[in-house]
Amino acid sequence: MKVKSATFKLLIAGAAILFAVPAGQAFAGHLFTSGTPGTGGTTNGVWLTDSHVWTIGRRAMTTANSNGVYAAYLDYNATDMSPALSSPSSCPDSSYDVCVYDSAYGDVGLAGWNQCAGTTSGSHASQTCSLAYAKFNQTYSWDPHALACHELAHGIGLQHSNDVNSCVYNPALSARRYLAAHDIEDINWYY
Amino acid sequence: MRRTGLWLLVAFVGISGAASCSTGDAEDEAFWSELRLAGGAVEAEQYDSAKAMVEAADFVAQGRFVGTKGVRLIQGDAAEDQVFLAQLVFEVGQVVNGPDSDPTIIVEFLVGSASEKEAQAVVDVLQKATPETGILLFVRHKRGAQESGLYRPINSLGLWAEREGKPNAPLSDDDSRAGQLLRSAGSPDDLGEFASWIATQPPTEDVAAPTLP
Repeated sequence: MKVKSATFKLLIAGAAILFAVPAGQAFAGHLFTSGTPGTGGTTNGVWLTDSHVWTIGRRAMTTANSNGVYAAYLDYNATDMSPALSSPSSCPDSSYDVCVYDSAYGDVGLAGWNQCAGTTSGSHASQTCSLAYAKFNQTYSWDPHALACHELAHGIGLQHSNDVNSCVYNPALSARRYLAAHDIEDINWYY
Repeated sequence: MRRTGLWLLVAFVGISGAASCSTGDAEDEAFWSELRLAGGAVEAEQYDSAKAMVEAADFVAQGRFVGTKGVRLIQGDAAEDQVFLAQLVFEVGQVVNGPDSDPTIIVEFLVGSASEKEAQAVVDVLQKATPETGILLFVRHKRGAQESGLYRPINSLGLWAEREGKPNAPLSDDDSRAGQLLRSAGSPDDLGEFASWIATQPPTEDVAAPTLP
């Protein structure tokens, strides 16, 4: 791993400080994980993936949403990540880093989310998940490209951004479909 | 329906005081940590002020969780695409703003478990760690298919408890947005004061809830 920016050295320092602060206090950094360990799974969090080789599976998706994932894939392919996109008939942990699903999950209050469906290693704030599930809830309306860019970002360790032009900004809106420059810098620095 | 601020304050002092003997912030955290959105979600409803939250909610209630009902499974298109919801029983102590409610309602929360067994384990934790303290809930009557009679908080800032005596949104990991929302309500010192402020807002029944696509 190469350090390409002094800014990210500061982020690493911030991560180190995080271990010293009481639980419940938020860390202001952008890249680093925020997964909440659960009993058997982990709920709606952010994790790193294990390397720049990043296998993405689209599982039983509609054409529109599948195209949204493809558009986001192109964004990530322009970074130092090496994404590989396919539409498999199953999503084994041994073959995929993230699988994307779209179904009508009901009025659960979430348009999309990211969860760890594999095993985690390491500890907060540099925890890695072996297999992430990104879920797009068809009960609500959203922009497939924007939502794909947002949820895939969480699957490689990007927390919500403060940049209103970033797809990782919260709330995610259709006007924000792309990674911002600092998102790309973060990704390229880490991976 | 509206209630007077003093009435609400008395109700909250009663509930919070009784609970403080048997539970505390640390114990409550074991409960809330299972339900918190930890940064990876895009919420369907987001509001920039407490007033907007009151207007959007179907009603706002003060009360407390009294137990769990179980796990609900939503099966997606792919075999392994399963979503699990924890069902909690909420005892409505007082409707702060909006139409009257049933005395108990089932409130659902998404859990990130990968199997029903894991989801049930989460529910078991929730059952054991159910806070006795009073909360404020901005309630959404679920409008999805086959979800009649089920409820959820309108978003991660739609549930308020007290931590160290101050209003706290335990489902949210975004202290900035929570602080912004409280400031928009006049920076209440405690939950009772927050409830009093909500009671002074235009009733929720005057505003149509957003519709699903």
